[in-house]
Amino acid sequence: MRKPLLLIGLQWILLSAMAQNIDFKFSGGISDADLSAVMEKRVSGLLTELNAACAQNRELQLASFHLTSRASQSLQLLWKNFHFSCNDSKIRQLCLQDVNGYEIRGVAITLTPMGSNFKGELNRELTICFAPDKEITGVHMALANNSFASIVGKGRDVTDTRRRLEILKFVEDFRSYYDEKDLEALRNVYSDDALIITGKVIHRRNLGHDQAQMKPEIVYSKQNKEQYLSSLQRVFQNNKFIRVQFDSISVRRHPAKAGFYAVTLHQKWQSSNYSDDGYVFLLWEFKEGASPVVHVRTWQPDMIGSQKLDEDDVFNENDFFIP
Amino acid sequence: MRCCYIIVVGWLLTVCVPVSAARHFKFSRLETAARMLGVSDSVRTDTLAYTYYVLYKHQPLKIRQGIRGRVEHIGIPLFNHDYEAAFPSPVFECLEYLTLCQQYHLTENTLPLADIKFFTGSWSVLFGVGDRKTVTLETVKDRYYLVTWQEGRQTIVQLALPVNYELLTCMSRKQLCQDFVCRLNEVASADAPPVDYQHPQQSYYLIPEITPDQNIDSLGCLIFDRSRPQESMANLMLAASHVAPLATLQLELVLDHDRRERLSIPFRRWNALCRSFGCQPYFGLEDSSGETMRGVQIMCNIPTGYDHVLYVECQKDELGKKDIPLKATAYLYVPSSNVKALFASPKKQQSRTKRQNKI
Repeated sequence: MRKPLLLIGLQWILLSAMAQNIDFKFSGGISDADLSAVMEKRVSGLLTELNAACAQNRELQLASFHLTSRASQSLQLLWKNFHFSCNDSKIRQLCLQDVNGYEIRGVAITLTPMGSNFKGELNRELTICFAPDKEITGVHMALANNSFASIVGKGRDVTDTRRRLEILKFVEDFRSYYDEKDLEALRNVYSDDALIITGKVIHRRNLGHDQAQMKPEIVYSKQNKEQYLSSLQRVFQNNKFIRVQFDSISVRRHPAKAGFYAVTLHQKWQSSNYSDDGYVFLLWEFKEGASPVVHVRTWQPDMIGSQKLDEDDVFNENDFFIP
Repeated sequence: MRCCYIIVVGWLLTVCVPVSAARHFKFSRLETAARMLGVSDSVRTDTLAYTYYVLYKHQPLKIRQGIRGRVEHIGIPLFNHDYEAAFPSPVFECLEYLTLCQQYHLTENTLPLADIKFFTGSWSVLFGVGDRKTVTLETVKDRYYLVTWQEGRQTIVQLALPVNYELLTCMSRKQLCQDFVCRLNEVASADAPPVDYQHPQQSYYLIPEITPDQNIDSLGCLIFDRSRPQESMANLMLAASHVAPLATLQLELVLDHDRRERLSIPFRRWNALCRSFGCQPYFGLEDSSGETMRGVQIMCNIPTGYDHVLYVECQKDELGKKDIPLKATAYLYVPSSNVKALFASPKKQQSRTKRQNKI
């Protein structure tokens, strides 16, 4: 009687050892350390449980992993058809962010089909989705490896295009507030700590060897939100009509700060008694559930004397420190 | 008996006369133009859709009535009707209206007119050019229209105007959004028949993954099948109204000034309305790995230079339903003239020293 019990115990120990603990860490894509630690812990726990349940050929016990009821149900359904385990004990993946929360893709798994009629690919990849409140909202099996990269890659291209179009919509709204002379709307768009930098071309006397020359150069003035809006109010009062046009807009995601986007554009300003052309740089912050705000606006003339402003001299996101 | 007679005549006077005299203008700018020119009485009151001409200071004015007899355009006739019908473009009515405004000083705000560059001729020459001359309309790099009027081999007027939706519609972004939302609310509850549509083949938006191409099976039929959710969703977004399955859109419109408006609308009507404005649908699938499929429908109005962007979600298991529920967020009037230049790689840190500014 002792012998079979010993064997079962030994088998249990062996299976437990085979069901190795998974150490999951983000390789980037998330800057909030607390949030990242919680998500990493939950993913590590969930993947360890998947491995253990697969090794012991048992049902999943998901109660402690903070899955939504829908995600839990969906995973249990998947488990009825397939058991699977992670191939690696240390997993490093990027955190992908979208409007619905966060996503981890490309967790390599090996399937153990429950039926004998499965003829598909056994090596797959798992996708784990999180809501912004860190709850797991979905655990899905991605497509077969060969098609995964291409299809998901394409999906990301579509997502990226759509996000840029959304940003463009907000930039266009922002432009039209100038046309409408809507100071209140502009007040809402600029963050309270907004930094506004405006360039102006001056001609400085440059004494050469034989004669004095007038050399054009840009001088910059810095304003805060209230100073800028006060001067804008005067411009609005002094001009019956204003027409602002943006073109050559480019959008860049900030390399380090999530939710920050840098927008550079060419601006044509027309008003009843003044017009100019120049480059505008805007640093936008897009927050979940809130309207986007502008933290930085700079304007530089596109011509310095008869010289076109060098593209490298246009302000960009690296010129500003975001705390 | 006399009392009845008086009541009937009184009722006819109060009800019928104002109705018969009512003139409907699609946009307030048209009503203002008719009033300023003093031609309001010449505007017809029937409910037919057609174009007619009235004389003003010995010059013809062109008036076009649309559905329910609403006045949709007033301008100086500059283009031959057959040419307009053969090559529909927003340029025609834009230039006719702006020439009217310029000639009779109908608008104080002349800033938009600065965008129209004359290479040959001027506004005054254009005013007298009439609609009998040979006209050619070209697009230059999808950014400008070049319009040329010729008599024999001689160019009388040549001008360029940018593909800018505010200029081409002679309306501000705010007015356009208000008008579109208003129309959307009208069609959401109306029994308007869907407008049919032929989709263009073999073209794509910015990236090949956003396409107007529909998915067909081996028999050449459009795929609407629960077992093929990706293809079915793409077809739903792109198909002509009469062949697409029924679907209801729970729509959130992201408007200016932080406003959001929600409405429920049959998806066919959303499609039909956008198409009636000249938009063509494109679709790209973003994610279909889980139970929820997400994608983007871009209603592209290339001639006018704007897109409506619809970010749409659909549950895979609901694709087989008789009326498929869709959840979507719409961003209206995204300028497409900027879209091609929209992508930029992150700026490299420049080697030269540049002082960092703290926000």
